[in-house]
Amino acid sequence: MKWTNLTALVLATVFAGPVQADPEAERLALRSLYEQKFPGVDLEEFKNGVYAIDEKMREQWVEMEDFPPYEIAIDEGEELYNTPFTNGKSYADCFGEDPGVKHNYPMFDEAKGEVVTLEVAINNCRQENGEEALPWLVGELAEISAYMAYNSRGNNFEIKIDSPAAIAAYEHGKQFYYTRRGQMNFECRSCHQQNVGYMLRAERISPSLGHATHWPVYRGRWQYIGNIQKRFQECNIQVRAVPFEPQSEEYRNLEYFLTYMSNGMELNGPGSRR
Amino acid sequence: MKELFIFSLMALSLVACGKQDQAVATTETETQDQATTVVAEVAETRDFSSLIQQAEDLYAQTKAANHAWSVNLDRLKEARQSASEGDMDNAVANAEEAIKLAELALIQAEAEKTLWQDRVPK
Ligand code: HEC
Repeated sequence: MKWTNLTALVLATVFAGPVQADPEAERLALRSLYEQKFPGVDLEEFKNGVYAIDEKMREQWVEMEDFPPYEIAIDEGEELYNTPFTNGKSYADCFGEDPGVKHNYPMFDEAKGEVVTLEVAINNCRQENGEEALPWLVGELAEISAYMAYNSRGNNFEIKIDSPAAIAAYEHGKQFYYTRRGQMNFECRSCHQQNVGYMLRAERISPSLGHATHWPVYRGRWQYIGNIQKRFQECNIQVRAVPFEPQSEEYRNLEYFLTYMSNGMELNGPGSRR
Repeated sequence: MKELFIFSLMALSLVACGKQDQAVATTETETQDQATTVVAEVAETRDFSSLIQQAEDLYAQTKAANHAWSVNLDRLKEARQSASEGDMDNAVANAEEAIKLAELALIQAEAEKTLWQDRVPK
């Protein structure tokens, strides 16, 4: 290397400062990783998770979707959504006339300086109107978000990362995803990228692309509808790590990162999984 | 925990006093044997109480580092449970195991601070 090149390199390093995250480049890189792993599979199909790559499981799932197990949750959610608060206001005063807003969540709240998931937004709305917050993972909150997800069907994710603080939250979520945890010493990537498509006990592992599109989910194993952070907990427990609190900063930032990876993909929630 | 420790010491010294009274009627070697057992029990209790303290502290550190392991928590719980049931051998074994696991989790936490960066697909 000539000394001029070396000087240029040194100068570039000095002036560029720390490496800047480029969420859009990282989203495209993740897409191309799965494109290479699954040539011939339309990436948009990954909104259906593992059913995009397992014909047999897909058949069972399509059958189950004939009588969607989450239908009751949508109905319950609709009723809850349209029941006014004691102060006479309602969710529509927080979210607008159209409850189909899930494609914008999680969003980075610049005023609060933190990531707000749809569940947090619902509970914020309640508390601002003098109602109690609902439990995070299952029950009424999951039903309300099921109704909102249902109304968001067909929209594409439009997650925005517009400020240095938002980038920092994204980075934090990204770090969580690529960090090994638990006694098994696994990252999310270990399963959902490196072992994607392989069987883990009775389950075939899905790609992380499309992981955010279909929540909340009715899971056969749960026998009820729950949200994505319940799944985060399960995946943490699987590697023998202590799971984090629902809607902790860690999980909110993880959800922000993971949802950004599905940006542009179609929402098809609520969903059903085994 | 400290209270439990002090309480155990008190309980043991009461037993020891009782035994000394009885010792009047027994031979000298028997008395010595009993004393050795009591001393060993006291030592074990003290041992466990410092072990469990260390295990709790280390676990708290893994938690603060966001790298707590569920198996670590399981061993801690079992150590406490065994101690409360008076099974000190199992209590000590589990506390020691918990310490080992926490140390590994902390090594993981430290290493992962930078390692993750190389794993992001480019
Ligand atoms: C030990 C392997 C393993 C690890 C590590 C793991 N998962 Fe999973 N994950 C699974 C399996 C198995 C399933 C169920 C089958 C499927 O849909 O992939 C699953 C399912 C999911 C789902 C639901 C997919 C759907 O279509 O509904 C999400 C979301 C998810 N994981 C996120 C994560 C995140 C985030 C991490 C890191 C914190 C993670 N997983 C780590 C194995 C793993």
